Amino acid sequence: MNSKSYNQAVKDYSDRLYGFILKNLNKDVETAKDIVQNCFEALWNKRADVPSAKAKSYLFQVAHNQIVDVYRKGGRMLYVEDYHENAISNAPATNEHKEIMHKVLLELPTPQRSMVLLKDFEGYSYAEIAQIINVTEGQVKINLFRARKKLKEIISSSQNKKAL
Amino acid sequence: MSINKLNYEEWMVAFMDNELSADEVVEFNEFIKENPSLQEELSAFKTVQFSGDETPIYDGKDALLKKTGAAVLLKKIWPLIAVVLLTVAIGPFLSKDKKVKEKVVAENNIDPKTEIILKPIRTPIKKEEFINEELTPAIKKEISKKVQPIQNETKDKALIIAPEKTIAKKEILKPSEPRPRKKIIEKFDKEIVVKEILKKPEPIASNKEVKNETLLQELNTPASTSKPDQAILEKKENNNALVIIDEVHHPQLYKKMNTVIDQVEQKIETVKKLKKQPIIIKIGKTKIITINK
Repeated sequence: MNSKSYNQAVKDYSDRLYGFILKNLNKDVETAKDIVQNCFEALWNKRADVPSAKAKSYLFQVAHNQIVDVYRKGGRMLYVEDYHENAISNAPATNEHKEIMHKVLLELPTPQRSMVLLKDFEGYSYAEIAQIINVTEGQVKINLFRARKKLKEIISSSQNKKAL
Repeated sequence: MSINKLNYEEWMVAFMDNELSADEVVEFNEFIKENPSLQEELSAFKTVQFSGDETPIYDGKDALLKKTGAAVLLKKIWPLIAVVLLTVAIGPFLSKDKKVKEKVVAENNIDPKTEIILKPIRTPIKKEEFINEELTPAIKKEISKKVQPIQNETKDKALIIAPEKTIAKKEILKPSEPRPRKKIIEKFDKEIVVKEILKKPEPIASNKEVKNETLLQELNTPASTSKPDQAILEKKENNNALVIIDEVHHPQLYKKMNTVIDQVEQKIETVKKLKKQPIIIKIGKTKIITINK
């Protein structure tokens, strides 16, 4: 990868990478920007080893690792009880619903959350996600299944609370 | 790999994500029909599926971009470009200096290994700048002697052609003139007795202040060569040697001394009025006569 390809990667992937990080970090803008900068700095330093075709997956891989580090170091916890009711009451079609679903995502472990985001928002294939997260393709599918199942349980639990 | 209860999760996810082939979809649907409990699980997935939404804009792209192509190349080679431009700019001057040094070595028979430093010098001042209309011809001539002709008016800056000293106007002095000497005219009169004149004629002749040799010659001639006249003989009886300066024998001296004696008499009269002491008349340091009041 040369400098021209690197600049093209900045133009093509920086926005999507920023969105992916932002959703993972519950819209912590400053941390998200720092991670984007770190990702492209890592890409520049490794440009000799990373082909242009693999630039996007490399960027998301670095981003995922940094997100894991952020949660590990910061011990971030998110309590979702407050918005479960809203999520159900306003479901399913509004922008607020989307917003709430993103917050529900934060309940998931970081690898599962990243897999959901990469699959549902970025459209990566299982193989690509497996490469980014550094797991097997089967593990990607199983983790996606469990992540969605857990999300369903959270939402169902909230609906039950509201019914009571 | 066929679907079973151990791997149905992967199949279900792939089915929801439309990742199954047509044959796999048929196989999956048959498996769901055989396991009704999984149908509820499958329907629940639809409520937690996400769809793509608007992507936020990252506003730090410019800071991430790197300079490419010509900019990077220019950054790498700009020192080389600077050296080339500098060489082109000062090359002719260096070449000219080298030629001048070679010329200096050749013309002055200098060892070529000798270091020759070229320094800029001021243009030599032309001779005409010194010649002022107010100066007298004698001064102009003096200036012309002191000012060296301009040897080289070219702009070559060779060190060895610099004049040793530039003559400024204020350094030019007028030709030396003899200091005015104080003229003392000796005073003799026929009526004044000049004692010891015969004994010591040398002081008069050797006196530097007496410049008129003709007068001295006239004074000495009668005493040594001619016969003493009547006046001298008469006075000699009183044991006094007299020299009578008359108009016949000493015409020039007589005329000169008459003038002087008039002035001396006036002096004596003036002194007599002021002082009562005796008046001593001297020629230089030689005492001539004392006049009592």
